[in-house]
Amino acid sequence: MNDPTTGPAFGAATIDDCEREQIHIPGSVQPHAALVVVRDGAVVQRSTNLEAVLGGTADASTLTDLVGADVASLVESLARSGDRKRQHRRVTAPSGDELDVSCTATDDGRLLVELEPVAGAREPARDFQDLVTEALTRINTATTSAAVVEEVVAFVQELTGFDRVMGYRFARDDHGEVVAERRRDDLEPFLGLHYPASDIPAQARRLYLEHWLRLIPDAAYTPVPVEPTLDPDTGAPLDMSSVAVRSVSPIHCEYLANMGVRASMSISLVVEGRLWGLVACHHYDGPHRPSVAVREACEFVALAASVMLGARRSEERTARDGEVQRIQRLLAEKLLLHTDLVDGLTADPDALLGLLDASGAAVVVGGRVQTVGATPTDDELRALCESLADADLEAGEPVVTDCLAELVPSWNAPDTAAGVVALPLSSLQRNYVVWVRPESRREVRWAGEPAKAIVRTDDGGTRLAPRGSFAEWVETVGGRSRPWDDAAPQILAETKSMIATHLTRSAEQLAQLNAELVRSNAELDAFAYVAAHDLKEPLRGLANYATFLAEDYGDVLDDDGRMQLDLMLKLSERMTGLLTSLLDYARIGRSDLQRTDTTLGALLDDTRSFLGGRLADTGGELVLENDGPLDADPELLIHVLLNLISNGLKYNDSDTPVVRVGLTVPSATERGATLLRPSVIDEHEPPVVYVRDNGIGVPADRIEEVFRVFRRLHNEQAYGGGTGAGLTIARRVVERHGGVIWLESTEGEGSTFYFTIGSRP
Amino acid sequence: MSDLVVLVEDAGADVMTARRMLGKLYPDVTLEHFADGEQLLEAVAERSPTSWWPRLFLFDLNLPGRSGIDLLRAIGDSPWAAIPKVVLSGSASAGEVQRCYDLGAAGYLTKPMGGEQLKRTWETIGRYWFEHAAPALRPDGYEWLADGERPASGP
Repeated sequence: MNDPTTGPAFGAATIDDCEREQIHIPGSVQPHAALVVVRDGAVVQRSTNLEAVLGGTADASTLTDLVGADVASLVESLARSGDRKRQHRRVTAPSGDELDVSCTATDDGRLLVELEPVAGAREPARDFQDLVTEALTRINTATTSAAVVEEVVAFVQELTGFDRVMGYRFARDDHGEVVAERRRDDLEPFLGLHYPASDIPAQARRLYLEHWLRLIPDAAYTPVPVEPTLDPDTGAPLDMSSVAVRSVSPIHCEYLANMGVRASMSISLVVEGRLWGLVACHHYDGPHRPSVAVREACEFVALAASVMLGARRSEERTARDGEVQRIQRLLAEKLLLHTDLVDGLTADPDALLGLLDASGAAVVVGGRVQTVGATPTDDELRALCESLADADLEAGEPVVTDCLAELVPSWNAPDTAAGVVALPLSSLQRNYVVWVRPESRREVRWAGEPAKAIVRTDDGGTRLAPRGSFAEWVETVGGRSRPWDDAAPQILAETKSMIATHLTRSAEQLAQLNAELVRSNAELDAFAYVAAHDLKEPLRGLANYATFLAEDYGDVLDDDGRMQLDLMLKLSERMTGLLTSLLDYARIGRSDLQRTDTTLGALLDDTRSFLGGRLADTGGELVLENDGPLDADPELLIHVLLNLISNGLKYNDSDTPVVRVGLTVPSATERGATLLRPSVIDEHEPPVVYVRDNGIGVPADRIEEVFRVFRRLHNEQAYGGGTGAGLTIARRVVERHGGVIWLESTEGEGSTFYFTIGSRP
Repeated sequence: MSDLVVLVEDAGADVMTARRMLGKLYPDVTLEHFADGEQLLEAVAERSPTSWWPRLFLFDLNLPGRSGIDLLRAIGDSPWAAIPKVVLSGSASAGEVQRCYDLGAAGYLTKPMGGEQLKRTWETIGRYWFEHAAPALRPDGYEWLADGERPASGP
């Protein structure tokens, strides 16, 4: 019984018991006070220290016998007076000793009477009501939560004389932090230390909510049994939840002993029905017992502090709401100033970060990443958004987590982003606004090592052991950040609607710009068409008159003069070619597509006839490799094929120029270095047409140039010349079909043009 | 009686080219020029096939006002429908070519740009239409047909 780990109702605690430990039915009390259970005036259970407390006259079966009729009737009236809250009076026992009597009435009509000698209790000599009043005044005028806690801690320390009094605040994950401290000067400060949630088990926190003050005057006490252990009428163990002097868990005593604490007291701070924190008191040098009156004063001031904490908390929340609104207004302004969403959101880094009090933030739109503050790399952020979209976690809702690794196991949480808030802008396109917070181990000093709360026993089981080491320890369990604000979902919803407004406005502007662009493009095409057509007429006149001049006056000109006339003709021809290309280009923009269900083979047959002698002239071959259906404008597509194939034959030094044409699937196209094409082709798109030659190829650095209008890679004379508009026209035809055209080429080995034909709108 | 060629062309240089090329190659051929379609249609409204029967119509495609396409349609519905009509154009798009042939054009030529091409084009036109192709018969030519083959009533 002296072994604290084998108290009356406790075996050696095992880890399985840890959260279930029945601390409300210990079956014993602490020695500093006696407990008597009374039913209908008769004593049914009593603690075995009753004689010692009362001074020897414990051999009685009624409350009246024990404490005298006066006290007994007082107790009865106290217990019945209010609700079941504990009532207290200071009385004089029959022995003449002063006693603090506290009692509670149970549901089934029993009285739980605690008798605590005043002798030996610590109490200020003077009337401490002044201290209470002063403390209440200071608490009332404290402007912040921190100041309120500071005041209650100072008051408790001054009134009780504990060596150390701490304000202890629970985080949302129930781990605690020391936020205020009064201590003896020679003691090591605990201020700022964090304690894991397991230090105060859940059932203890529940009890703390109901009964606000606990006292252990001497952690090295020997528990005093209550006899009989079970209620003689009901056979039930005695529920001591409301009994202040109940014996505490031996684990707790061991925990205190490990800290070198001899006496301890704690008072609950309860805000909005939740355990906000504790005023925790430690005494080191010996037992320490503030009197019941002192304890009640502490409890009262703690209650006042709790009320003020609630008020301050709503104020702080209001202030935070105001701050969030200010930031949202700022962001809205920035979005108005920037047509680009990414620029707008990141224009004021402090605003974006401050919205959720994050240490880093990023906007990821269409693979573009813009970051502010401390974030993972762009690639990591892109991967994160991919993972979030793949995991389909959000279903369009924001993700708010202080441990992303729990949601996305593949996420190898970088130090910068253990906790993540992701606001999907469009989950389809994997666009997000992301806020990150680092691992909290970067921010928190842990007291003791949380991971060592469990030890193995010799028989292979596990046992809960109070943490042995209280040197500061930085927690190594990674991957978790400080929790996000409770208001985060609300803030995100508002932010999202703000962004939606911006996007709607941008979309309208874009539609307007598009309409203008379409109109001006059409005008440009019309202009080019008319210009090219009308320019041909005077050009034709020039050419014809030059011809006539040569015919009529050739014999009066010398060779030089005739050569110049000839050159005029050649230049006219060249200009005609350019104008014809321009006309073709403009015409493709102007004419409606005449789509037909045809096949590549059929189009290639027509192309072959257009090629006419050119194939034979070059000694080349034209091979159809994979035929298949195509839904396209035949005239325009033949134009494209003709162009690509004649290019393949023309720019070709092989003995036998060969051009192969066929259909392939998007994934089969190679992704070489000399690739010019969009990065993504949807697999559901229609097949890809390829035209592959064994010609001279295009140098990698010039691939982009080939599609530029009137851009030629070779001089006029080489490879039979050309206007340099062919590929531009080919690209326009493909784009008018909703497709894309690109080129893979290896210099000296040949080129492959690929193009797609989009579905009919 | 010499052959008559009717040219509808608005561009002076092209008219001059046609005159020169035809005049050099076929001095006997007469060229009658109209600067636009309106003038042609006004003229034909006052004429009769018996007194005015060209060997060939040459229409520029892009004319101010009525286009070459309009003229193909108008002449096609007139007593001169039988006469071959050739379209000359500065450029050729497949759609335009098709439309012209659909409306009864006997040919579609892209106007040549000087040099050998110029010569070859006009030589080809002349050789074909004036030397090889039989002329369309004017209404008074019916008389050499057998009685039963004659139209019920001539114009």
